[in-house]
Amino acid sequence: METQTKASLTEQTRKGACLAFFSAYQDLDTARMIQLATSDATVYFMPMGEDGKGSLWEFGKAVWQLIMDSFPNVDNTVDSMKTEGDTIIAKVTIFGTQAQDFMGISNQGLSFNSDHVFVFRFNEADQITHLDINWDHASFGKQLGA
Amino acid sequence: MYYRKFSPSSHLAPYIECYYVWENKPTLAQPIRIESPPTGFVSMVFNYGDAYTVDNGRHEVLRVPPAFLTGQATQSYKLDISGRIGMIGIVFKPAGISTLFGLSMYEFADDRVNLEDVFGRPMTQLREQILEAAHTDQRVQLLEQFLNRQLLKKGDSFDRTDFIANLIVDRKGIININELTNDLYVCRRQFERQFLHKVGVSPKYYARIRRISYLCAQLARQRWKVADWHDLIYTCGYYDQSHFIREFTQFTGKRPTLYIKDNLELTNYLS
Repeated sequence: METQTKASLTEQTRKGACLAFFSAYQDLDTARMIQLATSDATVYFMPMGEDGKGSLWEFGKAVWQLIMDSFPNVDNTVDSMKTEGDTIIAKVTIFGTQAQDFMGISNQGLSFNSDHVFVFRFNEADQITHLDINWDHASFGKQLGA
Repeated sequence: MYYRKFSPSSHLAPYIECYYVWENKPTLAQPIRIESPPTGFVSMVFNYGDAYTVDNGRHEVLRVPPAFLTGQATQSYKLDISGRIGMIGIVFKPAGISTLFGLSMYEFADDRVNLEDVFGRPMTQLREQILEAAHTDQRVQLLEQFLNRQLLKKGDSFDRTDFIANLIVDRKGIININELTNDLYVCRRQFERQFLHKVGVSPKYYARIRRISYLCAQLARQRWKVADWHDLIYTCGYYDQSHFIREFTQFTGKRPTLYIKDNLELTNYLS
C-alpha cells in the first residue's frame, strides 16, 4: 500500500514537471524548459533521424529557440498524459504561424497545427534524463506550403 | 446477468451521471472478456464480487483493488471476469469528481487507483458499509449519503469548466471548442489548463473521446448491425470515412469491422 502511494506521488511529480515544461514552452522560455532536465540529458527529434539527436541543454535548447524565432506565436495544448514505467507520454498539439524560414521551409506566413508525442524519461530525483519527440513531419511541411 | 442504472438526486445531477449495479446469478461457468471503448466518464467502483483484472494497454494484467477510482480512459480497455460478479459504482460527469473532491484528474488518466490510497479511512468505512448492506437500494442510498456529505463540505463549486464539459457530453462531442471559448469570453490557455486539471485531458481531446464513446454506444444499441454507415459517420460528426476510421482505430486499437466482429461474438455469447 505504502509503495503504491509512493509510486503515485512520483507520477504526480513527474506529470507536474511535464506540465511545467509545456508551460515554459508557452512562455517561450527555453531556460526554464531545460532546467527541468539533468545537465547531461539527451533529446531526440525523431523525424530528423540521426541529425535529431543531441544534448537537451544545448541542441534541444537551440532547436526550441529556432522554433520560437521562426514561429513567434508558437503555442501548445497538452491533450493527455500517461505513465509507462519510468516515462511519461504526453500527447500535445503544437501550433503557430511562420514568420521566417525554418529548416529549409521558406516562410509563406502559413500556420501549422500538429499532433506531437513527447516521451519524457526521468531519474529517481524526478529530473528529465531523456526526451523523444515525434510528429508527422510530412503533414507539418505540407501545412507550411513546402 | 443483472445490470441496472440509477439516476442521482437532482441536486447531485450536475456532478453525477448515474449509479450502476452489476451482478450475476449463478456464477459464470467460464471466464469472459469484455471490451470497452473510452466512455468519457470517470467512476468510483466498489467490488463485492470476485476479484477481476483489467488490460488497459498500460497494464496487461492489473488486478483491480476492491474499491477504486478510474481516471479518464484514452483508449479501449478489457475486463477479464470470472466467478461471481458484484459491483456498484458512481459514474461522474467529466469534471464532477474533481469539483466535488478537488482532485487533479490528469494524474489518474488511464489508471485505476485504490480509493483508500486517495481518500484514506472514510473510504474503508464506506466500503465496509456497502459490503454489509442487505440489498441494492441500500447500497445506492449509502453512495448518495456519501456524496451529499461531500457536497455539503465542499459547497456548490460548479464552474465554467463543469458547464462546458457537461455541454460536450450533451452534444455528443460534436462541438467547436474555439467558438465556444470565444462565446464564453474565456482565456484559451487558462481554460485548457483548468479543463486538463478537472477532466484529465484537453477539451478538444475530450470531445473526440466523447464522439467515439457515443458512436460505440449507438453501435451496441443497434446490436452491432449498421444499416447505413455513412449516415452514422456523419451523424457522429466525422468529415468522411477515412477520418472516422482513423479516429476509431486510434481510440479502440482496432478497425471498425474487426471491433464489431469481436463484440458481436461477445454479444452472442452473453445472450
